[in-house]
Amino acid sequence: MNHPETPDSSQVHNAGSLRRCEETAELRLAQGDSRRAVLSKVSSGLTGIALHSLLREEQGRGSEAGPTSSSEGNSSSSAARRPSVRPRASQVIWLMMRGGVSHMESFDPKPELTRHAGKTLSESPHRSILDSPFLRNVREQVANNVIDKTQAKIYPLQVGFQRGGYSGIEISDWWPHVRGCADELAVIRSMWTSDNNHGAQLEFLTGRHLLDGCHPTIGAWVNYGLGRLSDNLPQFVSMGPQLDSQCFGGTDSNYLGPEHAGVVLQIDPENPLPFAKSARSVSPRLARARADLLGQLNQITATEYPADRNLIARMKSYELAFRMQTAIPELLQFSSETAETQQLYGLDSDVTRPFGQQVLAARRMVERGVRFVQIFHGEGAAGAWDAHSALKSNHTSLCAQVDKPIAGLLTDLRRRGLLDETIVVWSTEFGRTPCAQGADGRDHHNYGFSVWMAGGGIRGGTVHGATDELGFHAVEHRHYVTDVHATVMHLLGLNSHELEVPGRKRLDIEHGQTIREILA
Amino acid sequence: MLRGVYIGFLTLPILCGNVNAEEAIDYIREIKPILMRRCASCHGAVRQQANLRLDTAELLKKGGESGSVVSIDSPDQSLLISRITAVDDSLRMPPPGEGTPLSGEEIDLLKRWMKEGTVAPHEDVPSDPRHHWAFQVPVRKEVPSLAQHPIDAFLEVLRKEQGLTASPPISPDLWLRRLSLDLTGLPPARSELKAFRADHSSEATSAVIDRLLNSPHYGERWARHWMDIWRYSDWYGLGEELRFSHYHIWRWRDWIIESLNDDMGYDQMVIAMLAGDEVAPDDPDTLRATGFLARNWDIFSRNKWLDMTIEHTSRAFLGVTMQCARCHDHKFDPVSQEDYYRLRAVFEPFQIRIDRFAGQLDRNKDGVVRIFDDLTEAPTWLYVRGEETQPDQTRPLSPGVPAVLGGDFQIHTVALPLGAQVPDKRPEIIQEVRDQARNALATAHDAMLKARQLLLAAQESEKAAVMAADNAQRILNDLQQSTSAPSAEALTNAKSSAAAAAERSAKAAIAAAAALRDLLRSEAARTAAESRQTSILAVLEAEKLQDDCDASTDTAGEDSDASTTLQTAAFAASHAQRQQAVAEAKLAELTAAQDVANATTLLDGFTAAHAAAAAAEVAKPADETLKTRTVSLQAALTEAAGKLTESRSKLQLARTELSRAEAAATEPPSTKYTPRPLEFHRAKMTYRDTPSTAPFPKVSTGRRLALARWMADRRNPLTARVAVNHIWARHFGEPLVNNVFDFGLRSPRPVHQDLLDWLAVELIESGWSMKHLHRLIVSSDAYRMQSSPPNVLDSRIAADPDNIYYWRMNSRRMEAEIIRDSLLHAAGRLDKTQFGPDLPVATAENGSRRTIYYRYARGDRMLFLTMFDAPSVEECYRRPETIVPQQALALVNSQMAIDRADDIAAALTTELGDVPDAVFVTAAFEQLLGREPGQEERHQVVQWLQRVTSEQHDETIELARQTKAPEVAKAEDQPKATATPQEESGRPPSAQMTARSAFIHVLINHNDFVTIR
Repeated sequence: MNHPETPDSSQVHNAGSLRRCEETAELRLAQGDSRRAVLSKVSSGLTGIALHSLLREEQGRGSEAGPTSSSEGNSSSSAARRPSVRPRASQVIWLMMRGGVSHMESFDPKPELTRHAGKTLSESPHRSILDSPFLRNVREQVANNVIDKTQAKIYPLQVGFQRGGYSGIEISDWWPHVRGCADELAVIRSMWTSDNNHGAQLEFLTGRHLLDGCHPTIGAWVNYGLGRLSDNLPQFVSMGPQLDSQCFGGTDSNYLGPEHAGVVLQIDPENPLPFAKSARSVSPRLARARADLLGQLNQITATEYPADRNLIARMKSYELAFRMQTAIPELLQFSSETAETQQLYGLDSDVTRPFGQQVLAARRMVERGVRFVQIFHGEGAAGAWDAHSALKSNHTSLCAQVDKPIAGLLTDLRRRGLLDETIVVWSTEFGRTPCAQGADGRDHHNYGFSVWMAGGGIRGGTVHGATDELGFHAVEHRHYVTDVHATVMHLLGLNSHELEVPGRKRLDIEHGQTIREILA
Repeated sequence: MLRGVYIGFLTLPILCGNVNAEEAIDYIREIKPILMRRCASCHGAVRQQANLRLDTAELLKKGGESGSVVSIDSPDQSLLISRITAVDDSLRMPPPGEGTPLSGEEIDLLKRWMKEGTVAPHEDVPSDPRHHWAFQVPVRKEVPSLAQHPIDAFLEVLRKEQGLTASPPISPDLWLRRLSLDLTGLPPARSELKAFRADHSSEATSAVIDRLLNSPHYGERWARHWMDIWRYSDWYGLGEELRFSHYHIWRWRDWIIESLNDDMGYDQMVIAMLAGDEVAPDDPDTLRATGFLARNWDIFSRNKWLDMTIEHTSRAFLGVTMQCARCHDHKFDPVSQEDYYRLRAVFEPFQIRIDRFAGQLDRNKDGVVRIFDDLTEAPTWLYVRGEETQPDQTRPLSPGVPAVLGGDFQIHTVALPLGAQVPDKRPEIIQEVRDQARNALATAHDAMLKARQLLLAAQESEKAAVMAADNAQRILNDLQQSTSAPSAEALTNAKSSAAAAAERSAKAAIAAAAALRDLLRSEAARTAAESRQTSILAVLEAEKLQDDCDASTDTAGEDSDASTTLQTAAFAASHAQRQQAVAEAKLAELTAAQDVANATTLLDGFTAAHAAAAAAEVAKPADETLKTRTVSLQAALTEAAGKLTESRSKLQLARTELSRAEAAATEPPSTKYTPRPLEFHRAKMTYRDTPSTAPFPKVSTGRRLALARWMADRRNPLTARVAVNHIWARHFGEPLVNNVFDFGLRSPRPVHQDLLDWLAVELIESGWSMKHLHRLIVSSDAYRMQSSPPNVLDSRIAADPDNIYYWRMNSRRMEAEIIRDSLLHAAGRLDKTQFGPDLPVATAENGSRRTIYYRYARGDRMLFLTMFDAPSVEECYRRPETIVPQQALALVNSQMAIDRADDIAAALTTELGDVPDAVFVTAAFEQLLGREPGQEERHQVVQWLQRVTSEQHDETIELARQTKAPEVAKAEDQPKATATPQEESGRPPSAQMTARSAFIHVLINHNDFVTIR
């Protein structure tokens, strides 16, 4: 399957990262399933932080909402925050490639495409695709948005595939580093969604079509469903190019209350989040003096109104804010990482650095107790992966930006013992058409595409579900996007049905169903 | 150890589950929830399919039209179990589309419960949903005698029942702050505080209430509340493409503010927003109100546009959610799917347009965005399962409202006045047309006068040039004929002078000829402008008479006098248009002739130049420059020749056209004149739509007016209650009915229904006066209560922790806008200008207008506001009130907070003069927290100020010393940010000012600044 045009250098990288992932896999096997044992084996410094934050988590579970937040209208009971099934992981890193990654050229090889290249679907032996009832699973945001299925011609595969890891999962040559981590991945090749335009990005996060309005995103649900892991950091962080302005991009908590919404962070220690830094420089002494006076005055008021809980909450929110002002810039100081680690994430190359910094920041957040980290990749209103033309050059260059950092993240999490506690989701809003758009592109395709998951509670080295021979329809073990939500929630010990908010009826499709076949 | 914790509490429920297996099934806990969730929507109080109800155990055991559904002996054989386990989709319950099959676990539970004998406690049968409290017309109960004020009397009855006592009144200072912020969104100025303290009359409080309700800021404050509920959003687009909401929506915002300040009745506001175009089709002020509907515009989907309209109209005014009924009969409320589409039929005809103003042709730049009925014949179909692609075209649905809400829904078609049918026929637009014609004539006249002057000047120049040429020639002649032989040099000079003068003379002659042609053309242009004016005036006259005639034909049949007059006018218009055509053709001919003349002159010039150059080239064949010059002149010559040919053929065409026009002018008189080209712009219906330009309908269906009048009718059970609930919530921090947009069956009878109903009737009977309701509420003792008891052990806290019985006031947090406005106000910097187009968000940080006037759209609004729970533009019936660290960061670090702290400190210093810190501190507390500091507070702050002042003093000296050493001055923490007022004036702020600004900054961050206590 090796494509003749595959550059040799990728083979070298491939071998390198394969070795890393295998090493850690062996370590995991040697230690059995005991995470504590793994933690004790790995080097001390950072583990200490991770352990500390995890210990705090145990104390936090089942307790009431963080004292720093209060919200009218939806008094989430403490019961809602208690894990209802056995948790397998406690944190999530969710990657989303914006624009629509070609599944056939990434995780779902389809040699039939090359065999029947240039034919229409009707001319190929797979004409029954056009009779499938699954074709009805589309709800167009913009009418007639996609190429004519009956006229378009099948476009051959643009890249070769190789098997990765002991599991031998076939992954394309555009993803050599991720392929090296194949044994960590559970690839789901049978995803579908309903929006055939980029509203599908938000649909993946909310489970609802954009035309249905705004709904809480998965990050907000997780944040709402579980208690705090850190007193210094927000619990739901979003990085990278945020979704187009509708519904607050991918961070909307909607009726769950703004305290559960994602905090958008920039990889800029100088200006990581809104108002993180004083608009006018203040001497530390004066800043301290102001904080002290504020504390004193509020305390006097608290004595006058001892029953005012909001006042206490506000005082605590100031304390957290002051801690965040230090904690967040510290989080983004990568200088404490070794040169080897920085290279692992690709911080030494201009191509991989922007995304590499975000995934490295994600690991540091996980260590410090951020519950849900969401990273978008691909600039632009539609997202950079939207390869309507020149798919090959588009995907080659974008894969080069993310492949190494993602593999670096998996490798690093594994060797630090964090992968057992962390779920990593790699996603995109939909796949791309088996047929060509124009000379050398592929159009949006919502009927079948691939994502993968890795980490705590996931059975690595798994391929689950399948599309038909052209990669058109998901045909085996079909999964709507919220099945990924359900799986994440299940691994976190949450039952989304128990998180119902009074007065807000969720549809069954919003809850999704756990993909049990990929659980360890 | 880590795992141990999980296991500790996670295995416990499993053990309990095992124990449970041997215990009896608990109907209430285990069975009823399944039946209610999965079955009761079709087999319950709202609907009884197959005459079967499953919402109580007794009804379940009673069975339905197929008899019993349970079997204790063999549950598997029971109808209930066989239907929920049926493999055949046509038999299975719930049916496909209504819900997924029950899980094995659920089925097992039901079987076991049956096997155990269907044990269940007695329950009351849920009542008929039509008897739901909110669907009954509110009735005023007699006010209890427990207190003077009706609100206090109603509250006291329930407090007494609960053994609760009302909290004592808050201090007058804080009452004033609460009241001022509630009614105007601005804290009291210190002068107002002092005046209030000094007023010991019995009318002091009512005077303050009146003053605030009469303040123009009242409208701004409450407009923002209603804009939350009515989903205000400025337009949103991508690039040049408008996608959501609409241009000029701000005019609706201004209408809301004005209407509130004028205390327009709530009923009238509802009518204006839903049907302003039907109730006042001629009045652009009222038309602004229909921005409520225009705001729902969505470029992508007309269907969604209507869905949003239906849902949010229902929620805002009726407190009913309709959206469930889009796909199926409502599961909770007695609202059917047909009801939904009948309501849709009310809105089916509507469309948006922008009526332009005279003087602005570009509708995207200005105009009134408004609703009108366009698709008056469009049918409404019920969409099967809510799917647009599956309309049930067997029967169109007529407009209507849910019967359960009662009342009269009467539709009367509205005949529209001419200006509403054809906006170009509004008097101001006709005046604009007249003005334009008059101005065009004046301009043409001026141009003609100028051409006349230019001609005179050219003729003068020509005369002078001819004289000069004659003169030069005479000198030459004289010289040549002179008897004494002239010097060769003198002769040469004279020759060249004469030649030059002759050339100038020739040029002047050409210029004069050109000026003459120009004059002729501008005379023709003036004539054309005049005939255009005559013609447009004649057309306007004929149009008017035609319209009058049409109108009178509609009412009184033929009127021969009128038709004669009309005929005369039509002849006149036709005649004027023919004359206009002649005048314009003449103008065109002259213009073309002028072009020919100009082209000829140009060609002559190039011909001469080319001949000269060619000659020179022959003379010097080796000169490359000359060769190049000849070539380029040849090209110019060819081009000029081409132009001449072109202009000659245009002239020919113009002459033909003139002949045609002249011939037409001599034809027999006719009444066929060309009317004005009228414009009928609409909004797009869908993404790929090309908006229609067909004329607007002459009538409106009256459906929306019928809906609005039905809502605003005093017999409507919901409208007044919903409005009262919204107003109450914004005074007390909590509504009387918890779900402010859903008064349906999911809303239980409120604890304070008697009070709610009394206030609803009071609102109606006051002529729906919202100011009356505000006055009533804020003058109650309840509104005056303290919000927090001084003792944490107060038994009332335990007895009624959520303050359901209003034993205290609820403290609230200021809304985002109020924080910004209050800071500006306290700094004396609030620009009180009202109204106008939405201001750019980027100007807000330094801007000083009230926040309501800045742009508010999806993706385009102030960052600062979003930190403080700014409303979603999608919906915000009630704002969340959170306390999160981002708010602390915004108030500590934002440029705005820092600048305002400086402003406030500077303003207080200016006002107070040179005063001790203690006086400054008192004033600052009054300015920002609306009260004096306590002794302890004053003491702490004064000490702090002294310490910080002295530290700042030291730092200033240190800084001054460092500044002298340039290498140190490069230190990183050099102040980079904006200048304080003192810095702007060139002097560094004094240590005392820095300390005082820092203290003000602390007070801005004080809990009680953002809190309405």
